[in-house]
Amino acid sequence: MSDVKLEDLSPAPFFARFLEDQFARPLSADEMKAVRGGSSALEQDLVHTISPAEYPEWMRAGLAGMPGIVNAVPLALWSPMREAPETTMAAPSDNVAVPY
Amino acid sequence: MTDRHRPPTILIVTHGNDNGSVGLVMEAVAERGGIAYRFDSDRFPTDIQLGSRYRGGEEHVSLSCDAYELDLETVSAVWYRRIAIGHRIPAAMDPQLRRAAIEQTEATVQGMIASLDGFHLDPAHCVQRAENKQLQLKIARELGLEIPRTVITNEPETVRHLAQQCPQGIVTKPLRPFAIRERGAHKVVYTNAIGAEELEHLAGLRYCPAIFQERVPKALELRTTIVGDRVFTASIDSQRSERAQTDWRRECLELIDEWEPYALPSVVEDRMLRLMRRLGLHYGAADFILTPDGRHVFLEINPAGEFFWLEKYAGLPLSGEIAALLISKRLGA
Repeated sequence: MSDVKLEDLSPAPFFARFLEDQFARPLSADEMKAVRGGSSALEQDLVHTISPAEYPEWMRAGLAGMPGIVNAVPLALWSPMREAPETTMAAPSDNVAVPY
Repeated sequence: MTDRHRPPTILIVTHGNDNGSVGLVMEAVAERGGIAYRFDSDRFPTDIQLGSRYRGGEEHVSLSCDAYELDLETVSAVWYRRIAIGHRIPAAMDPQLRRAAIEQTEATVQGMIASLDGFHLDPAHCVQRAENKQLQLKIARELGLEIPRTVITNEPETVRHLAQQCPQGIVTKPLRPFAIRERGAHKVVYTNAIGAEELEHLAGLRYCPAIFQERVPKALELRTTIVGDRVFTASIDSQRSERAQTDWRRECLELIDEWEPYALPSVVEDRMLRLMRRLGLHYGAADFILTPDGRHVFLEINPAGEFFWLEKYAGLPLSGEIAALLISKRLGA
């Protein structure tokens, strides 16, 4: 996504006159989390990173023999958060696709 | 292990910056005996490997990353929640090369999803089709849902004519939500009232059309979430806040804990379920206005609409319903 100076743009589409900050004031981290619904990748109570050696025994025993599933770990225990995509942060964000 | 004895295996298509909704559904899947695998589409192809091998009568498609390797033939259901293609392909790459790489990546990911045999919540092509506001309004009207008087146009005169016909005023909104980054801050376009000044500045429509609708008086704003055959509605009194009167999202933080369950009339619920069937959807989040005289005016439906705050603050059991729907679909059933 480009980073534009809106007042410098001419000609501009009709919607440009209605562009506004998403929030009336800067939000704290907790407030942002509240309106975004948190981040499943950052919520430590939902997600934390473990290495294969740390998989619980029941998981290694229970899933290793399951056809089609190798080296599996329930994703609630796995954090994928690295260089996450920029999102619109709209509240609510109803879009399926995040623009690149 | 036969398909009948294999635990339901759910593939969740999303991205690494999605919110807590994913975790809620994953927990609900686990509580119901299923296994959920999260595919962060932004991590492909840089950090996730996808292999599709076709040879004679054999086919093997697998997804692997540092956390798991999954044979995609075992996937019984797909939750097409969010998608972010090519975000980790280096921005420093030549723009034409990067664009081509992203397009190839998108074709690979969409092809992988489309070829999965299990239940899709919802099929990507249905989501894409259902996002069209014109189609939504056309079907809603055909099914007897009340909709606002609407024009979608790039013609200034058409907008002025609508304004003349609507003494209560008109509003405008984009056909699809978006954000523009200005000096690091996100700018968005909410629903806005169109006054006399705006009617004199419609020339920009030649570069981008917009939706214009009659301003519908509000007693409450409603969010109706449909999961399978179940309909859940919550309401917010947006008229108590001046900034939220035209669009409650302007005060989403201040109002977020004031959402409460609402009983949508059964006739409206039935029409919404028929709308879902016409759109080929099993999940959707619709916006309504309840007028002071008790009419329910349909505004739009979001095929992948957000739901976390309705569960957290209004207590609607949406993640459980989504998980139950995903779990209920078995391969070969």
